[in-house]
Amino acid sequence: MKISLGPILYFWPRQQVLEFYREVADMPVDVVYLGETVCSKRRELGTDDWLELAGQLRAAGKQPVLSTLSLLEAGSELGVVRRLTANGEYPVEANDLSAVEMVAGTAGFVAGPHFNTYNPATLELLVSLGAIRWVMPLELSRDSLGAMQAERPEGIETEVFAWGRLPLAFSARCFTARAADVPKDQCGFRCMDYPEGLPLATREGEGLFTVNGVQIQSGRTASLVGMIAELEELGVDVVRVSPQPAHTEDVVSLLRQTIDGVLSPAEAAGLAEPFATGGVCNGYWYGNAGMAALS
Amino acid sequence: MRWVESARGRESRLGGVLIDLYRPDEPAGYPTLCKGRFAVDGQTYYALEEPTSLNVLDILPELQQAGVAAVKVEGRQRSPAYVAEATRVMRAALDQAAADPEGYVPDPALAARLDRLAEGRTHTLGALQRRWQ
Repeated sequence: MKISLGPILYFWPRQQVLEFYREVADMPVDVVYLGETVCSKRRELGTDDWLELAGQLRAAGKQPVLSTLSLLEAGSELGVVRRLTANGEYPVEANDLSAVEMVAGTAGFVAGPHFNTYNPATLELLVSLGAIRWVMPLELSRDSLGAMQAERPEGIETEVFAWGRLPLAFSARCFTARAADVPKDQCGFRCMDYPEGLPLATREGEGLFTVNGVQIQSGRTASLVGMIAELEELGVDVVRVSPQPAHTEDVVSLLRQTIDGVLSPAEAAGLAEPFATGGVCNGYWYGNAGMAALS
Repeated sequence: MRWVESARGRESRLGGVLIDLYRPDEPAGYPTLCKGRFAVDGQTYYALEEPTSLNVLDILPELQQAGVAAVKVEGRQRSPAYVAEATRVMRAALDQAAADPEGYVPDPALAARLDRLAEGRTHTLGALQRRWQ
């Protein structure tokens, strides 16, 4: 089973991003997703920068994948997707069907976690359009995964989001701008003040969500570290770690040791838990409320 | 989803999670996560969506000129009384606008009837008043 690093979902300063990927070059990950998937106003790195990083990571033995924006609202944003899909070197993670239209005839694409890939017929369709990998929708359960794997067509890999705050929803509204009481058009790039998002709690102080610009994430960190053996049994090819400002490397290392049989999944899950700010959850895996922490 | 009457007031809860808490005299919002009041950065407010309803009465002639052939009234999970009143008001306003597009002036009495039904008792033009790229 391979380990992937998802796209950075937060808005980090350019230097922090470059520093992060310098470290990634030495991490035991196989696949690295690069690019801005949340907000087109975040332009600390441009398409050329992402392509340069892809080259560096490929030289370090990683498989780079270029991720596209998840919610497209303007022609200029489609233009960026068009440039990414025409890069000619690296596969693209399509996060909106508009990108699939553009990747037809290229080296193949990854169907991102926000596609409604809920049945084997959809997988067949994605394969016919050129998908080489699909990322299981975040809210699907172990049983759903089993049903999909049982009828998975030839030639497509399965990836499961195994660590990180779940990117649950996107909106044309910006909730970080709203928190700052400024219009979205004049947001002043407030997202940069929150390198792992802005916690949202109930009036009883219970952590519920994380505000990340136009994206709403889970409050807790989803962890399937304890399910590595089951994921292997179900024929999952790739497990994804979502980058966070600290301890990404520690989580990757724990996953690698688990896959290599050095640690048991239960041991690794316990060791990973302190790296989850806001605590861990795994409810979706059990077909339960996503924020639940079950065993 | 359930409503709970407690010493603190009226609570709306989803799977045990508090969506919002209302004083006894406070009109309760629609009990869904995106319409709840939450704490972000030390402030408690409608962090995701304001409880307000879209109302296009002010711009009906513009919509008609733009080629809009029908308006949709949200009725899902609303009561028959709500749907009856909202459609009746909309019908009256549409007929006024069609009869005299140049002279159309939004009738405050119709708007007031909608506001009585509206979430938070207020309305908005929402995205229709926004400039898009």
